[in-house]
Amino acid sequence: MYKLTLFIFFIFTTVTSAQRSDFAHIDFTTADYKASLLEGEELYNLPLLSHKLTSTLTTDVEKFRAIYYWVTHNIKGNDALTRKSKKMYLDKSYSDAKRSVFKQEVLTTLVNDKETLCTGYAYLIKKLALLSGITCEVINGYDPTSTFKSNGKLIANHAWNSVRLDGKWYVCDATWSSGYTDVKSQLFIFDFDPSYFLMEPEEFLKKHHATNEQWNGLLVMQ
Amino acid sequence: MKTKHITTKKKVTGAIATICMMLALVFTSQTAQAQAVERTVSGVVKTHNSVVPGAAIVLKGTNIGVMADDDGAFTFPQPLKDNDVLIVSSMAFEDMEVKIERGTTYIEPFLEGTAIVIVGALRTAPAQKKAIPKSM
Repeated sequence: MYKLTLFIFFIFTTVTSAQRSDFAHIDFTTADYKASLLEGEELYNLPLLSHKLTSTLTTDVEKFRAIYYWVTHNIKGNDALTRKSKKMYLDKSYSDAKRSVFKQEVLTTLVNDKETLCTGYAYLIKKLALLSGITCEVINGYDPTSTFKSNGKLIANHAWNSVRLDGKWYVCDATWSSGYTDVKSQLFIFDFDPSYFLMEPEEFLKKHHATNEQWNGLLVMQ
Repeated sequence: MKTKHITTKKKVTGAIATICMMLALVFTSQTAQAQAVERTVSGVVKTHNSVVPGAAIVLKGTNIGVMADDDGAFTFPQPLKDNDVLIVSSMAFEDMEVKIERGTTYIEPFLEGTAIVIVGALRTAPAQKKAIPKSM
């Protein structure tokens, strides 16, 4: 009986960890405000941008929030690049050299036009976080409810971040937080959706399945 | 007897004075040396078989920095001292930190290309706002 109680207690404490509610006591108004003051900043000097965003904030979660808020309010989704990346993924005849050129195109578009696709969002967040001393990773995976398949198998077509705050891994999806592409006009519309910021793991996993299974397990087991 | 005592006292005073002067000299020269090691640092940012144009070079923890030119070359705008750390960053590369070693006036930071795999998916509809707690 004692062991069972201990087991239940263990399950309860672990499953409820690493949630956004861990930071319920923190008001993100200051972080959001500081990030909004830097609207329109360029991406040529990332250490400087990271410093401007975070140096006046005290906690890691606020620093990360400022980075997340800035990226989701200043970087547009680029639909043409997204379609090109999907095409490239499905068509195996593309050479490594062509893929490398495409990678350069994505990164150049990000720096010069502040437009990107999901990898660019996640990558930029990772870079800015690392420059502020916050451990952050880009996670590749797919939406389990997606119809984007190759040979009947769901394939990785999405990227997001895992971030380590106060010793635990949290997840966020800047691509889906930032806005959407209007189907009719093909234009990107900023439409901040904060629910993907440090989303509860159970909720997040419904639409995000990491290709590397360890990340999925880690979210609910830590 | 009295005379001898005075002489010893004089000797001791003299010795102390000498030691003080030597110590003063040592301290002065050390200060001078510390000032001398603050120097201008320049360099070229490189990667495999080429230079990296336009990288940002920033003194860690500050907003003091410079951008490398089209040839990857830069001169840091502020004199640096031993153990200062520079962050070298460019979008398509892994960032790196360079510690300024004793006497260094020229560095060649070597950046590795980033290993990211490009995948793409974007949202195509407005958010369902009802699901979002107002506090966040």
